[in-house]
Amino acid sequence: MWSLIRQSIAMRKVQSASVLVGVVLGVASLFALFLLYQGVFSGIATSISRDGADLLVIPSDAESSVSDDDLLFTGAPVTMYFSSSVADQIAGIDGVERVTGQFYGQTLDASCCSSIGAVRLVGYDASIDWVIRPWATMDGGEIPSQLVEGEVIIGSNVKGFGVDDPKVLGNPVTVVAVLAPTGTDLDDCILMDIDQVRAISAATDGYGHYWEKYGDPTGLLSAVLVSVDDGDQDAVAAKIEALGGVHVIKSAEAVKEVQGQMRVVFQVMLGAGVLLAVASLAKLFARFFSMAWDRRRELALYRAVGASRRDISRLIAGEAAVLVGAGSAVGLVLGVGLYRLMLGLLTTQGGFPFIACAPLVVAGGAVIIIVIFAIAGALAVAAPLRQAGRIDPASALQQVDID
Amino acid sequence: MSLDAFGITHSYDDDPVLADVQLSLAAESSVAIMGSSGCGKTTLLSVLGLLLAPRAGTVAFDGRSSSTMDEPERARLRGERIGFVFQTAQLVGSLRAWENVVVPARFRAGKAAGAAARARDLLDGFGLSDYAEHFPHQLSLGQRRRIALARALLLDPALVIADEPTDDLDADNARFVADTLFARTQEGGSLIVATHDRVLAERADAILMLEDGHLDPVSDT
Repeated sequence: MWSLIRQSIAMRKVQSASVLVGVVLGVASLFALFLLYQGVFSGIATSISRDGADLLVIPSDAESSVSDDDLLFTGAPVTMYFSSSVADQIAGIDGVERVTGQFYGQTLDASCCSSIGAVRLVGYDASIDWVIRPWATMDGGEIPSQLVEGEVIIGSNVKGFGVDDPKVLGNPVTVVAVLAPTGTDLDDCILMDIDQVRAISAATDGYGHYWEKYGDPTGLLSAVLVSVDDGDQDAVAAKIEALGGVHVIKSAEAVKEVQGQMRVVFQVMLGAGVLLAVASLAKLFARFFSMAWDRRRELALYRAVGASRRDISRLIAGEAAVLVGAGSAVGLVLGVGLYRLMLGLLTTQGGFPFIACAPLVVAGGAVIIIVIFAIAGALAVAAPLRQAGRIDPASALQQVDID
Repeated sequence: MSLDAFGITHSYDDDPVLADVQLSLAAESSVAIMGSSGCGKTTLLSVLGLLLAPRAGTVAFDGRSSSTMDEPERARLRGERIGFVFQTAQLVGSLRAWENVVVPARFRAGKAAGAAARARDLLDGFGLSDYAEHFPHQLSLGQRRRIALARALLLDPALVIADEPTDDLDADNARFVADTLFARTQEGGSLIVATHDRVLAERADAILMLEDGHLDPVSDT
C-alpha cells in the first residue's frame, strides 16, 4: 500500500509539489503568526498585570537617543543621568504615591564577568522598590529587602551564573533571585544595590566624561519610577514635566498605543496568513477533488485484483496524509524560521514587550495547526472517497488501458 | 476451485444481456466462452469474477454462494483465489513492469513480502527479465500482455478468468499466453476464457456459446 502511495505521489510530481508547497507555506505562516501573537500579547498582558510604575521619568536629553517605547518595553537601560534630587522633588508633588530610582551602569560581558553574552548592570534600591520585586522569584524564601554588597538579582535570560564562583567585574557575587521573564531588556540585566553600581561605574574606565558632564555618580539617577494615587495621571505628569529637564512617559498610554499598533499589525499579518492557508487548502481540494474520477480505471483495476473499498479509501487518504503530514512537518520547521525573521523585523520597528512561548504552548500551537490541516485534508478527500466507493471494478475489463 | 453459477440474469438499463445463465466448472478444468462481439461475454466474466453483481442469480465458489459474502470478503476472494487477464493489459502507467506484477499483493496482508521475488521469477519465465524496470509505455503490446498475465498468476490463483487473452497478439505471443493459461489446469487450477479464437477455445475442456443472453454448450473437446 505504501509503495502505491509513494509511486502515485512521485508520478504526479507537479501536482504533488504544488500541494506540498501550499501546505508548507500555509502551516509556516500560521505557526509563525501564532508564536508571534502569543509572544507579543503575553508580553503585554504580563506588563499590565504586574504592579509596575504609572510614570517613568527620565532626563529630557535622553529623548533624542531612545524612544519612549524602547525605554518602557525593552527596558533599554541607556546611559543617561540626572540629579537624584529629582526623585525627592517628584515625591513632593501632590498625587504621587511613591517613587523609586534606578541607576544604569555599564554593559558587561564574558571578558569581565561570568555572563554569557552582553548584559546590562542596573542599580536599584531594594528597600523602597515595588517595580522589580513582583518579577523576582527566589528559591526557599522572600527576596531580601536590602541587597548587600556582592548580592545580585539576574534577569531570566542572563546565563553563566550557575557556576561555583560567579563574578561581576572580578568581584565574587551571589545570585539571590532570578527575575521571571518580563519580555523586556530587563531579562538581560543584572540588578545590584544602587550605591554599589554607582561606585562600580565611578571607577569604570571610559565613563569619566559622564561624571564630568553630570557630576559625581553618587548623586545621580538614570530614571525615576512613579506610582500615582488614584486620580489624574495626566495632571501629575504635567506637574513633573514642569520641574524642567525631565521627560515623562505614561505607561498606560504607551501600553495602549503599542497594543493598538500590534493589533493592526497582526490583523494585516493574520489576513495574509489566512489567505495563504486558504490558498493551500484550495490546492489540496483541487488535487483530490477529481482524483477518483481521473484515476477511476486504475482504482477499478485495484478493486478487480482484490482491493476492497476500504483499501481504496486508505490509498486515497494515505496520499492526502503523506502530503499534509510532510507539508506540516516542513511547515512547522519553516514557521520557526519565519517567526524569528518576523520578530527581528518587528523589533527594528520599535520596542514592545515580548515573552517567548513556553515549549508547551509551542507544542499546543503546532498540534492545533496540524489538526486544522488534517481536518482540511480529510474534507478534501471526502468527495473522492465517496466517488471511489462507487467505482465499478468491472470497468477494469473495458478495453481501455490505464494512463 | 469449483464454480457454479445459477440463474445469472443481467441487463444494462432495459437492454437484457444475460438471461438465466447456468454454468458449472469443476476444479482443475477449463471452459471457453464464445460469442459475437457485444453478446455479453465480458459481462458474464465480470459476474463470475465477482466484479459485477447480477440483477438476479448467484455464483458459488466451492459450494459457497457469493451472496452470503460481504464486500471485503468478495474482494479477498478476488485477490487471493481469482486471477484476471483483461482484454487489454490494464497496466498502471506510473508503475514499473515488476511493480505492476506485484499490485495484487499490495492489498493482501502477508503476501507482499515474497511478492517481488515471485514477480521477478514470473518475468524471468516469461522472458521479460530485462524489462522488469521498464514502464508500460516503454514496452510492446505483447510484452505488456505477458506482464498482465504474470500479474494474474502472481498469487497462484485457483481460478483464472481471461477475457480475449490472445486478441491483437501475434502468433508467438498468442501461443505463449495460451500455453501458460492452459498449463494452469495441469497444475490444479481452473480456467474460464472468453475468446473469438476457435483454436484457443478448442484447448478447453468445454466450449459454451453465449447468444441472446443464453449460454449453451457447443461441444465437448
